[in-house]
Amino acid sequence: MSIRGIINSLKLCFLCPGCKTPRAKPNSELETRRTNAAAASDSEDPLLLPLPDEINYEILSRLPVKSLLRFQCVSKSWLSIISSPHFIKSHLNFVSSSTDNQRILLLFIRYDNQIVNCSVNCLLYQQPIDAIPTNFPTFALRGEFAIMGCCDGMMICSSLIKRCYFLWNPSTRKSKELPNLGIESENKYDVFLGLGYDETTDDYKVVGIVCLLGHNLKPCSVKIKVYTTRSECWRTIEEDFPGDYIWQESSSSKFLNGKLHWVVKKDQHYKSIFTVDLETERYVEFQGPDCIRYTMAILEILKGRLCLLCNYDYCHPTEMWIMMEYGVKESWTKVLTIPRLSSSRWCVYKLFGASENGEVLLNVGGSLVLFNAKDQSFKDYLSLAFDGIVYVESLVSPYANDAPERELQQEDQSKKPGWDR
Amino acid sequence: MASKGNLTLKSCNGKEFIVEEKVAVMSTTIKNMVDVDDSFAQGVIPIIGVDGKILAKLIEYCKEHAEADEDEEVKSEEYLKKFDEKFVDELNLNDLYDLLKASNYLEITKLLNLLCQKVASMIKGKKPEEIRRIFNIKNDFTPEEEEEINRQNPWAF
Repeated sequence: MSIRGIINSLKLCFLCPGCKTPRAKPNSELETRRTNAAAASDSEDPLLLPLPDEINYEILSRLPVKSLLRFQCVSKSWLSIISSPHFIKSHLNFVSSSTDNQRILLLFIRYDNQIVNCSVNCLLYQQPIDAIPTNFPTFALRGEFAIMGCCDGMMICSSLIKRCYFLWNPSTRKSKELPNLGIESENKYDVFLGLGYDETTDDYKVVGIVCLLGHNLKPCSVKIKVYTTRSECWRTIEEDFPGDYIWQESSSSKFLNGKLHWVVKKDQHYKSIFTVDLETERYVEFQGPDCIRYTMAILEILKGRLCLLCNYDYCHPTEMWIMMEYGVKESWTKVLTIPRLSSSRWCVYKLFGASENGEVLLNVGGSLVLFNAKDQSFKDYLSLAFDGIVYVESLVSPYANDAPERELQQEDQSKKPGWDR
Repeated sequence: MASKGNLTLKSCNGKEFIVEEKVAVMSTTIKNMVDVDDSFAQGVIPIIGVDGKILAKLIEYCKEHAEADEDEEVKSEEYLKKFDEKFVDELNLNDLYDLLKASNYLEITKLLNLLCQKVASMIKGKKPEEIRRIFNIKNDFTPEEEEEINRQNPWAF
């Protein structure tokens, strides 16, 4: 299926009853351009005087990333505002201040490696959606990559064909390959990555959990490594951590309250939350809810709280638990039960958001689904296999220090097939 | 002179407006003046650099929002949203520009946010040269410098 096909099938899902064609957003760029052209021909009076800097700053904070990148060439003062770390933060604070700005990146790896992004609220509130194609990252032209975590609009990705890790901001299209982890082991090992922000050092940190496997392929020990965008290198913070914890395959990390979180298995029937504090670089373990024996648990963040989706097996509904008070085991509360959709589609892989009316947007068995707890109804948005991640559009750069010159030629490199190394 | 609970605001072109104190103190600048110096509350408060037309607009906005803060039943969130939309839609560029500066000077944060959002949605699809014209900004890059910047994100154009 082509990207047009995916976008069209998404749009069809959003047709309101009685509405024959998808309604374009009134403030879509196309329309703005049109009114713009009209305005130019009417020779509308320009704003006569330049606005004070503080007002310009406020206006620019409210612009989409694409417009900001374009407006860098307006003047030297605009360039210096838009590229300043202070502005990048205040833009980020603005987009993070409202859930209206949350977007979902939908990856259709099996369909021609397409990526589309759209507003989470449009999906939650069944409004006409604004699906926009996202450029494929230059580091993974063949699509063999997985997103392992996301923070402030930047993502940590892993190649599925070789041990390569990348930071990627889909909104600015900037990416950076991380240096080799430097694991010298004859045994096999698994790597789980997380990305978060350390306020005390004003630095983005990648935490790498390296699970070394014994000869029987059972985990024998864990190393914890940290990479920071300022230092641009890996450091070991934990050398020989006992291998009691088992990370789920394709387990993604969640960043909340200055800590990275993973759901891990400890002993046979017990799951807990493994956290690494990015400031102190120490780990802490939280206990999960007292509903043991689930076969697959997915950790999510919902409205600033840890949320666990507990899948049992195909005969049982999935439970959604929320840790009402951060770090307090007793505060885990079951908030929702999601019945199985069909025998083949029962496992809830992801939670993307919840509406004010109690509807939740989920990935159930690979489909994008809106579940209404009140009437127990499901609305299917997409039944194509996809992966998704919720993010905000930001200017945050994978390069904390100066970006190298070669980054400027990224566009040319993207024309070459395959890996450019 | 204004009666108790009311304040008199005077525009730069001499127009006087008697408004309820709760409306006037939507402006942090006016609130600070009244809090610090009681004589302002009795006499006339000069609003420097804001003419009568713009001051009337500011008062119209603050009145709706002050009343909504007081009684949510009569003026619901939805009502305010509609009011805000209509308010900004009816502005021409010159008024928008004057209101931006006035609400910044008078620290009417809600209105400043609303106006900034309006300008942002007006300009987000524009080209750099249109931005320069609208904001009357001089392009101080050499053609080489401009090309170099454009080369970094050609897809954004």
